Amino acid sequence: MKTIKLFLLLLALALGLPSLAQPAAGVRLLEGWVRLTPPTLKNTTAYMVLSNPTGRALRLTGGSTEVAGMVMPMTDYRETRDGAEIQGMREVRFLEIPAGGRLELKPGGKHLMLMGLKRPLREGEQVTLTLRFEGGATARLTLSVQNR
Amino acid sequence: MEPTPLPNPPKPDLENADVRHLRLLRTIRRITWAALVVVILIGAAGLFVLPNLRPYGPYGTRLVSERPAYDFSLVGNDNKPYKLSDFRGKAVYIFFGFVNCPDVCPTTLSELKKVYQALNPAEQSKVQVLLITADPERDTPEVLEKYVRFFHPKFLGLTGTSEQIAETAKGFGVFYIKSNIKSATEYNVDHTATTFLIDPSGKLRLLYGNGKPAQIGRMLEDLRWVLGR
Repeated sequence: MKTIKLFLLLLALALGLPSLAQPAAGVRLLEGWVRLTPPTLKNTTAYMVLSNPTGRALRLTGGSTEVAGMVMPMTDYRETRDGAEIQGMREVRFLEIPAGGRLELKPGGKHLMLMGLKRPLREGEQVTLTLRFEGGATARLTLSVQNR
Repeated sequence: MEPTPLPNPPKPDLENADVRHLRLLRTIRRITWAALVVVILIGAAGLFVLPNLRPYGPYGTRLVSERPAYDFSLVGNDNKPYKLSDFRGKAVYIFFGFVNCPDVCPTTLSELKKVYQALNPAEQSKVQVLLITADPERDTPEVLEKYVRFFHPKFLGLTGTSEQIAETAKGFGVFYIKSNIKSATEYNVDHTATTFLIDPSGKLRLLYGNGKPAQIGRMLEDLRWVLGR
């Protein structure tokens, strides 16, 4: 079993897929990327699809990364004002991954904000994030910076 | 003794009837074939003609009544003054956003970049993408310059006084308000995330809700339709 896991991990690395180095919280990263923003911006976003094969819901409360000051869970926000729909985003306490389900973080929807970038990111660069879950579990994952 | 010859049957009459019958059948067959050919030809012609007769059903949302888009007066990221009417002869995409917008704005601008890049150079010369800031306090021409050029050097960012931006937003039915205010310079802006398409005569023609410009192929069909009329 261990050799199979190691093999899959090496295969994922060889294929250049984002990999979960330490899936301590039991989540699996199915895909993900960090948005390349104009170099003058101090914030960017991380998008990903996480699956939760465990039997209980997981709550993603944030995380950390070496390239930014904070990693915050955000959700999109919409309301109608004067007949016009407005859109924005709001910080949330957590984003939930249902037991046996998945969480999709995508443009225009739920996402993670990388606040206070310490330096401009480069296209193709690998960024390591440590996700933090309610109860203290963590998961480390690596995403590439993409100009999509 | 020779046998008595049998009386001749009324042979000529019978032959005549057969011949007439055969001729009639042949005529019917010919008419049927001719009719079939005509039907096929009409059908084939219809396949080519009908789609051109049927009005184009655009992907974007049409306005109930087409009207001239609001003719703003703003300043570009190149510090030059611009009015919407300066772009007569071009199809213009307008999106309201702001520089410190990490999710909705870069998503839409990236989508519009893909649409623009899919055009040939002749078509590109007839299309202009404009980002109008909903955050005039922070988005000076210099700030917009670095931001807009990241997406495409031909895109133009527009800003102005708070009053000019408010008037322009009102003219397009766009609403915006600060949110998540942490300090005088740290805040977000909630804003209408619609993309507007204005035709070469300056009429507001189609609207795209947030997320819709991701369908690059459909966006191109609409754009070519608006350019062609």
